[in-house]
Amino acid sequence: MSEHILLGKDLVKDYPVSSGLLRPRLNVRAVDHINISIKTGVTLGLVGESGCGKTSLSRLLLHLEQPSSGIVQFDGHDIWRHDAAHIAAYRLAVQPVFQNPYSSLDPRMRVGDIIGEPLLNSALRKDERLERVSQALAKVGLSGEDARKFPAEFSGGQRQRIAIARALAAQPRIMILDECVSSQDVSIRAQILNLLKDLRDDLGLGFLFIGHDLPSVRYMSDEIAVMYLGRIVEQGPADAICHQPRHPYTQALIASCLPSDPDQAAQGAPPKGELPSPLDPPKGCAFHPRCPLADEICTQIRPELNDDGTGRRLACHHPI
Amino acid sequence: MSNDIVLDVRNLRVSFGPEETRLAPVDDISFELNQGETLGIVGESGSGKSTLGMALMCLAPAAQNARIEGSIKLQGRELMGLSADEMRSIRGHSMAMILQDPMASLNPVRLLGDQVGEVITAHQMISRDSLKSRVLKAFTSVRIASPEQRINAYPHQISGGMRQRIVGAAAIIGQPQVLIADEPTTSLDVTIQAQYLDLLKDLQREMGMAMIFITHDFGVVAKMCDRVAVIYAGQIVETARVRDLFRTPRHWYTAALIACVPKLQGEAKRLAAIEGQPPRLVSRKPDQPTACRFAPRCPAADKVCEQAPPETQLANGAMVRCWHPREAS
Repeated sequence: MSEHILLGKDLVKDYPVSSGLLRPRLNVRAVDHINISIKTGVTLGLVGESGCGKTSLSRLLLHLEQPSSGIVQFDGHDIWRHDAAHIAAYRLAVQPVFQNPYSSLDPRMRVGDIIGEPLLNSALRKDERLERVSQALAKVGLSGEDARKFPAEFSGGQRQRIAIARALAAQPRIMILDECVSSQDVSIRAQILNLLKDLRDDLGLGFLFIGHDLPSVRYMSDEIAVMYLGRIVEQGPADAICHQPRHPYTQALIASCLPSDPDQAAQGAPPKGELPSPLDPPKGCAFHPRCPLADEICTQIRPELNDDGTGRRLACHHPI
Repeated sequence: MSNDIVLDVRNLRVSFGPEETRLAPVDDISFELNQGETLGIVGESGSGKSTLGMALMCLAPAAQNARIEGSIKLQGRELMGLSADEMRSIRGHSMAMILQDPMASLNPVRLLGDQVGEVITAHQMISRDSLKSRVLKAFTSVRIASPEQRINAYPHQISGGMRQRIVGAAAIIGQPQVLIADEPTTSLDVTIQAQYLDLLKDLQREMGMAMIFITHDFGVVAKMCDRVAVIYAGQIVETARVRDLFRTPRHWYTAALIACVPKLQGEAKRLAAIEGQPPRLVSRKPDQPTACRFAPRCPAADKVCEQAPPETQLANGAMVRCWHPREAS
């Protein structure tokens, strides 16, 4: 299986916010100089609180939004310099699965049409398309008869399987899974996570697995990147990040996780307060107002994301 | 912890639909809740846990011919059969509820202070000044910074975590004896969830109220609850103290639910997912026994599971409803 690679280089995304007719135009920096790489066969997990820019980043990678600066490369080519044919191919090779399978499936289309729709853009004949649809249904554990039904006839977990089948029908190399199990019950979540893991291994896919639930992200990922207010603050092997976090924010995220049994003592305290407004980000290290270790330097100088010599990248003046 | 029973629920059944084919999302549920205790009610979507929560407040589902039967005793007083007015004087006052989605619980065009204060004015005559001071006190107790300003804000002006704390303020301002929380943190981020759960624990300790915590997440149970009732297809399949339940779940469904939660520590083992779906509601007469409802998904199911499983009483007030309970190891 050939290796494919999706690269984000120094990505920045500003969204203009106008707060009134005569007020000055402000920019919200949703994504702030992010470098990221997603390879086939590997899962990169991305965690952070709501509003930290996880979804904005995924939209840049999906060619849904143009970055304000920086480039997205697929197999060495800048996707914003592709011609139409290349973009069509890119759109098939990199597939999303979104959070809410109630809003991501058209209630008035039959499941077979939903799954086949991304393929209308390809050169496939109709019978090939139908073949792909039934293969995709089989891969996610649904039957061929389900293609005739409407989304309303399925439960939330089955709908998410349909959304996964739609992505698979395109025979992607890379899938971007944005909070794709967050709205599911624990029992259904486990089914979907196992299904995704098996698909990745069988088909050699590359995943960007976005979530805010650290245990699920760890279960899926080889490597985890922790995002805070538009920046990656720590990135490294999944187990190392979860067992020995070095950034105080990562540690606070772990402390916020629910215990796996009643005897497990809480580790540290969850972070105080809430995510600051990206309209007016704190000076220096963005985490300093909530950080127990912050001192003078953290309020002045923003730490850069550097290799810490143990195989992870870290942006902190006072790593643990 | 004293063992005074605050809430005693016996043979509670919620049903709706035409008489011949009535469906019962809550089917013969009994439990008691002690003073100062937190009882977790755990189950999957569609297990009837939210319908149960509403029924405890004597609120029947908005469905054709809906009916609540059985007995609910709040500090010895029977709630079933109370008039609508009598029941209204209990809701928000002796028993309060926090629902999942704070945006749906709050009125978007009314000031936060008025919405929280309404809980008081619905039950008693009170001067404006003392009302305001009680509202401010409630805002402070749910850790709202600068409450003087916040009482004059609208729901859209505050964050989701803060909204849920306002809903919490409205729930506790009447100093209820029983607080029912139905998935109160599902719509919140993990960090805000942790803060909110800690807050609820503190409030419970300060006010000495009993809580019923409805959730699908065993992590929430581990953090919050003293005792747990696991509910499947409208019936309690197991009750136990929280430590016993995690150490030795006796029902196969409980064990499966615990096993399918990903863990942060230790080796990342493959999750033991429960295959299949919870069953759809089926109609049955109250006196007509049915097969074990979990049997189609159960690894231990056999012929005898086609008979209604027995309720076995165990040590420490635990109960399991199963023909082949797991070993107590």
